[in-house]
Amino acid sequence: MDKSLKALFLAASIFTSPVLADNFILSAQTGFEYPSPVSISHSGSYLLVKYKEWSFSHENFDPKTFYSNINLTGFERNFVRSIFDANKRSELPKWLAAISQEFSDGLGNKPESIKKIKVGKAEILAGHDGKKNGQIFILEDPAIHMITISGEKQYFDAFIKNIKER
Amino acid sequence: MDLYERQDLKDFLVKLFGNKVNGWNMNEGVFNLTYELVAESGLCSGMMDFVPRPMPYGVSPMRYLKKELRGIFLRSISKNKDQYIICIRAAAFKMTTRFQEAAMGQ
Repeated sequence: MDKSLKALFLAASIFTSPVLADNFILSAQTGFEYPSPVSISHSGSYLLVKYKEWSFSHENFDPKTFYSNINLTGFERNFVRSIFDANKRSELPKWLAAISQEFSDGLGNKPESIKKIKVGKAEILAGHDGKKNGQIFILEDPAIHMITISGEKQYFDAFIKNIKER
Repeated sequence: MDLYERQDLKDFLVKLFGNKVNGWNMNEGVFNLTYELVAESGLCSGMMDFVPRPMPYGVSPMRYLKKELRGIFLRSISKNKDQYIICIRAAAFKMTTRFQEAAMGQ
């Protein structure tokens, strides 16, 4: 094997190695590690990181645009909590509780997949539908991060384990 | 799709997905996903009225629908978008990644 071919092979193996991990900084307090992806695409505030078998996206929750015809400002944290916990809907106005239920039903998360954990000061709420979709909401001060996982539950579980306090 | 069809599609998707749509290419893949989203919005019974005809499995709605029907579909969802945002928000949320990929030609 000549030198240039060796160099090419070495470069290719580095960029495809699943062992390598990069740091994704969400905030001064929170971040996560992720393996080197096949591609990254960006549109507005939406970032999509793609692998062969799965992908994840990140976007900040904007209470003014999550529903284009409703401003959730002031209710955003309780609204997000109520997606994963029906009991929290009693803390919302009735009309918003109904919207929360509609959204939660539409996600179709399996009850056994729902996770409510703390990483440092960040509150993490997450669920997976048992098929190909999971959502992770990370509530911090002042931002709420929305991360979606398009892939089977094993990727969702592994992703949550990689969320760390910085 | 002509200019008007692309604008109708974009108007509808901006309401659902916000400003990220401004960076999306309104192409065949995005149209097909929009059709799938509306056609499979089982909870939104009124939305089904906009679907012009049942689609054989595996075909591209963009290619299957004649231009006139495609235009009617896009005008209908664009004109009535405010009524159905809440109803299809979760389904759209779950499909965001697929829309992004289609819009970026991935």
